[in-house]
Amino acid sequence: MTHGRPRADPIALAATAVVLALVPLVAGDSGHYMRIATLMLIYMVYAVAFNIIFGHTRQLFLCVGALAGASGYVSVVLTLKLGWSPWLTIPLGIALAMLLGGVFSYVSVRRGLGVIFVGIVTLVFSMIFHNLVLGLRELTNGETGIETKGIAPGMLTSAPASYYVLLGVLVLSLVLYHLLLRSRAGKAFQAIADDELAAALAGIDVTFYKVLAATIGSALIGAVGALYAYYGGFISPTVYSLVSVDIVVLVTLLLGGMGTAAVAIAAPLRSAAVIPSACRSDAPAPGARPSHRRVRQGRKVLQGNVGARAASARPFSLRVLHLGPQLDRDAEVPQRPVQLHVGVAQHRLDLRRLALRHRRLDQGARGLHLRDPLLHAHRIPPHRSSARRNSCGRWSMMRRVLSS
Amino acid sequence: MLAILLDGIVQGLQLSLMAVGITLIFGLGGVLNLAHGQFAVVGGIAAALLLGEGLNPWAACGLGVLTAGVFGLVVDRTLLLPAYRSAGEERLLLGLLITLGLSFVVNGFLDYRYADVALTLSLPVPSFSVGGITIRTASAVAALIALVAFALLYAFLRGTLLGKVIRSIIQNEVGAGLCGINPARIRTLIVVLSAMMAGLGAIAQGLFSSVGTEMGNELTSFALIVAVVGGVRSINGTLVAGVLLGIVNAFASYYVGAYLTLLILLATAAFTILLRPQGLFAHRT
Repeated sequence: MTHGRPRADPIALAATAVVLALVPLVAGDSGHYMRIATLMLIYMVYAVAFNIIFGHTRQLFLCVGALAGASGYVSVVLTLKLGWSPWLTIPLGIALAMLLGGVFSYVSVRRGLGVIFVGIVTLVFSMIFHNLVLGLRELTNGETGIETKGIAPGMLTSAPASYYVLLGVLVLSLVLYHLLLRSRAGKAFQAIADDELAAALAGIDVTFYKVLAATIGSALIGAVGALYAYYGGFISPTVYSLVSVDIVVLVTLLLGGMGTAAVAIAAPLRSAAVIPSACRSDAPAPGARPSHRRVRQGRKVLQGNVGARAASARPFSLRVLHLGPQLDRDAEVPQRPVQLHVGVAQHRLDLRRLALRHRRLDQGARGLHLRDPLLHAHRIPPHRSSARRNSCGRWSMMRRVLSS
Repeated sequence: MLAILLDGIVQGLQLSLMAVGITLIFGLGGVLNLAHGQFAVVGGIAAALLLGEGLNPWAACGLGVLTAGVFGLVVDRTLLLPAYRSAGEERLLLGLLITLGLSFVVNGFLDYRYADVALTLSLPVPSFSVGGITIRTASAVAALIALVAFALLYAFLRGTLLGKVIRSIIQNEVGAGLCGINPARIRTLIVVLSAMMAGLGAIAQGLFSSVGTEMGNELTSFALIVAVVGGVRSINGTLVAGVLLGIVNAFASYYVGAYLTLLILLATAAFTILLRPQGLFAHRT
């Protein structure tokens, strides 16, 4: 997907950080603009995280809001009820989000769920979370929400300070994203996004990398969810609802171009300017004017419209939606992956047919030593333990068939 | 006890009426329609508006169902075209995003324009009793609507050549195309049919309580759960799953409260996907 273009250019990253750091100097006087700017940062981190999960490894997590909310609520409730310091409970919230994201990813990879079913499972989780928050009144205060004013750590009480804290989180997540994509994991993500079967056949541990992406993404979501809880001074189920988080993030990603670094920097800048600024009525502003209801409804129309239009016209940046193999579409493809892709693509059809024909053999082949001749046919070194770790599911079935 | 059971069955039939549309569109068009509840709401609101104009309730409901159908037609012939042009997983994803976007547009527009319109139908006789059990007329009528709709659907799918064509496309779109069937036209027919059934579901819902602009997402999610539990490709499965979940819903709301019931239903859906992705009762369509 991102062949040939520098993924997260350090210079662009630094420039983004500097520009964003200057924002309070311009908008610092107005509480309203500071709030929009901070919300923008929050949604940018959401987008970066969701980009790792969906843009790079094709796991449609429709529970971004729920993960953020789980983290935020756990942190706030523990702080309120047990009197722990937020510095202790925020990591706990992050850990919970990581755990949840990792489990969803692991289970869905192991069960071989397609994109759509991952979407439904996570959507159902979102609904369960929402209902739990509404139902566990004595802990969460239901629809009314919880005030977090008195318990927030000092840094998150003044507007500029919290802006810089969140900017720190954003820069951190961008650096993380950058490092991740530059590492071996980045190559694996690219291969998985292009063609999961080919990636598995090339010896990439699909389960491991998908779970890795989901865990890292969820950790970022959890971090920003917990910070948001304290920053806003107030949390309620609406703060983390599907509509106010997931949809916005999905639209952001669609507009910005999925699986690109540009999404991490440019897209939120571009679309965040449009969407979260309208979001302000959605964010719990005590004493919001009644006219904000109009704004919210207008935003819904706008958002839906943009989403539908972006998805249906398939314009500039919807490259994610070409899920098929992308072999020679991009001229600037780096050398090695091309060889990998072409090599595997040549075999792929044969393999599929072979695997289908010999599906019954699979049962008998369980005890065989797993050794994939393809691993050695390509010059990419195989992961040492990948064969064993990945020893379940469709991919390894192919592999077993090959080795039998 | 028996009353709860009956109530559950009626609820279940209504759920299936909504869910069968999702099943059909998914089976035939390969698009998971997340705007299905909105189809229903459009039908319901149209009926309510016509009722407000002083139209005969029968005519208003008929026109409401028709409006839902026309809406489905327009969506199918315009918005969903890019999805149909692609295949496989790409079509699923594109369809999902398009219908999700559509649901927001419709929700936003209806909220904005017709926030205070809701469909409520009142029947002349509130309840009658058979063999010692008091039955609400609304339940009986709603069950009747659903049963008749399902009977017609089955007769259509089993008995007519067109039905056979539809089943053939569900089995294998390419194969059907090779036999000289035009999948696009059949798809449009099915989307319209599903939208009309959704509209009918809204009318049935209007008999019990009211159908407002905000109900779209709720209806979609319930229909989605039923369709998923029934196996998103099987009509029989959807019917059985709907009735089963309806009964579970009725008993659970009676004994443990509505809040836990919803959680139980959601958990059922999640576990069905994880344990049996093909659905509980996956048979032939």
